Amino acid sequence: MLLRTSVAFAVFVLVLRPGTVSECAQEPCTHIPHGSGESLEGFLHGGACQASNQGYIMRWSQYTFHTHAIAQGWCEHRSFPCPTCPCSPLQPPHDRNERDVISVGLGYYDPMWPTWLNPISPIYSSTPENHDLDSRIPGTSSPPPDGRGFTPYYVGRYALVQQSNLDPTACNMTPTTVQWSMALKSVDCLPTFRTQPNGTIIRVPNDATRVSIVAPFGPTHPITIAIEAAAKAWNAALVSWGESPIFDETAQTTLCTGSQGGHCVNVVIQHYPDAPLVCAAAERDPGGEDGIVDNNARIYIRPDYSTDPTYLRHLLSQELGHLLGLDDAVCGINSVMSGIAACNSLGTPPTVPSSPTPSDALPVADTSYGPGSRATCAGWAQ
Amino acid sequence: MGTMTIHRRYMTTALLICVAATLDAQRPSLKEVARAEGGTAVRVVDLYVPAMEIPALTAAAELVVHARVAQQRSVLNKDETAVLTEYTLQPLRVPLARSAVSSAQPGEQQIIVRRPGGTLVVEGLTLKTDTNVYPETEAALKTGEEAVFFLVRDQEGGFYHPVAGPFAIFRVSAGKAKALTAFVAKRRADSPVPLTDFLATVEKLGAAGLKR
Repeated sequence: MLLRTSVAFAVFVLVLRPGTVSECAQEPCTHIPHGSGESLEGFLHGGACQASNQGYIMRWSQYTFHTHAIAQGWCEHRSFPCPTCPCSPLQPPHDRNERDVISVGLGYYDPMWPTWLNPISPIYSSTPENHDLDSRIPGTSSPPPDGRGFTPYYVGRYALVQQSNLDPTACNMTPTTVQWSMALKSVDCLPTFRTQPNGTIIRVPNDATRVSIVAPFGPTHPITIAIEAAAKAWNAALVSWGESPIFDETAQTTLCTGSQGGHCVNVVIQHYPDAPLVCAAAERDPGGEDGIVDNNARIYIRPDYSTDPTYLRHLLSQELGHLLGLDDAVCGINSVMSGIAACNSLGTPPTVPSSPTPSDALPVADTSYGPGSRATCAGWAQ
Repeated sequence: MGTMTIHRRYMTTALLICVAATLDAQRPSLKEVARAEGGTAVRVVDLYVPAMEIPALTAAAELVVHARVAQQRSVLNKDETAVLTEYTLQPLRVPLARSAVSSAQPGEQQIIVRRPGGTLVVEGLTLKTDTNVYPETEAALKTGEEAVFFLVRDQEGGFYHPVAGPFAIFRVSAGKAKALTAFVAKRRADSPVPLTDFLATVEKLGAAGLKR
C-alpha cells in the first residue's frame, strides 16, 4: 500500500510540475551536490486549530495549507561549454547551479478512502530563483497569502501530505524531495484530556485484563442497566477505531479488591462527600509518572439523580469517559462529555448524547491509549 | 403487599448504606496513598456539576453573599481522603438568607466555604486533590478578592458548599460579576454583569421565591 501511495504521489507531483527533466538526461557535466537535501515544513491554519489540541481539527472547518520549502543542493560544472545541455544558461568557467523550489505538491488521504490521494492544487514559487519558498510571506508564491484551502468532511483520521518539486539543475539532480505528512484527526468536538503536570493522560489501564465495574444493586436496577449499557457503548466505539475493549460489560456485585488495582471501578449511589450537590463524580488515583490509575476507582451518583434511563446512561457514559482520560466538553449533542443544567431533568429531552460519539472515542483510541500523533496543526513533522 | 414493598425498600436502603460504608473504607486516606507512593499522593476527581443559571442557583441556595476573601488555605477533609480549599469570607452584602444565618450580615461573623481541590504538605507528605472544575491556576480566589457565592450549609460541619461548584461562584472585578472560570463562561454562555444589577436580580428572585 505504501508503494502504491508513493507512486500515486510521485505521479501527482510530476504531472503537476511544469517542464521536464528528460532533456538533460545526457548532460555530461559533473556535479557536486552540497547539503543534505531539501527541507520542507507544512503549516495548517484556521478553524479551531490550536497548539494544544494534539492534532485534532474540527470537521467542516476551513483550514489553509501553507508551506515552507528550502532547497539546499547545488551542482558545479567543470566543463565548458556544456555541449548538449539546453536547459540552463551556463556561465564559465565554473558555473554553479543553485537548486530552486519550483512548487510544492499538496494532497490528503481521508478516512473514507484511506489509500486514495486527494490532490490539492500545488503552491508555486512566484520568483524565478527561489531557494526558499515560504508561502506565508505575501508575494513570494502563488496562490498565497491565503494558501490552499482544506476542509475535512468526515470524522476520522486524515493524513496531509506535501512534497516539494525542485529545479533539477543542469546536472539533473532528483527533482522531488521526500514526502512529508502529518496525521490529523477530524472530530465534531475538540477533545480535552485530563493530564498530569508531566503531560501524561490520566487513565485506567488497557491491557489483557478488562476493567471490572461493580454495581451491587441487582441486574434490574436502573443504574446497573445504565452502567452496563455505557460500558458496552464505549467498548463498541473503541473497537470501531481499532482499539481493544476496555471494560467488562457485565457489572459485578462484589466490591473491588485492592489487588485489582486500577482494573476495578466501584459505582455507588451516594453524594460525593466533599461536594454533595454535584450530580456525580469520578475519582481515581494515578500512581506514577505514566498516568495509569493504580488503585480502585470510584463513581459516585447522587441518590436523587434522574431515574430516566437516557439521562442515567449519559451520566455514566461521561463518568467512564473521564476514567478513559477525557475532560468535560462544551459540544452539546456532539459529545457525551458535554453537561446538562440539572441533575434531575425529568421530562425534558436531553440535549447531550447518552452514548459516546465517534468524536469521543477517536481521541481515546488514538491519544489516551494509542500512539497517537502529538503533533500540532500549527506545523507538522515528518 | 404494601408492607412487603416497604420492607424491600428498607432492605435496599440498608444495603446501600452498607455498600457506601464499605466503599468509604475502600477509599484510602491520602496519607496512606502518599506513604505507599513514596511521599506524594494525587487524587483526581472529575465532578459532574449542573450548569445552573441564576434563577436555579437562587432557588437552590440557602445563602447568597457578596463577600471579600479574608483568608484562603488548604485543609484535609474529615477522613483525610481529600484536600479542600477553604475560604474565610468577610460578608459585604447578603442579597438572600433563607435560614438562620444572622452571622452572614455585613461586618459580622465570617463565613467558611469549602470546595474540593488543593495541595497540602503535612508530616513530610505532599497531598493533592486535582479537581477538573477548579483548575488551580484559574479558579483560586486570592485573599482580598471579592466574589458572590451561592451557598448551602454542610449538614455536619460549620461551613458552606457552593450549590453548583464553580457555577455558583462569581468573581467580582471592576464592578462586574464574572464567571469563575473560562469553562463556566463558555458552558453557560456568561458575560460580565454590573454587580449592582446582578445583586438586585438575586434579591428579586429570592423575594419572589420566599413569597411562594
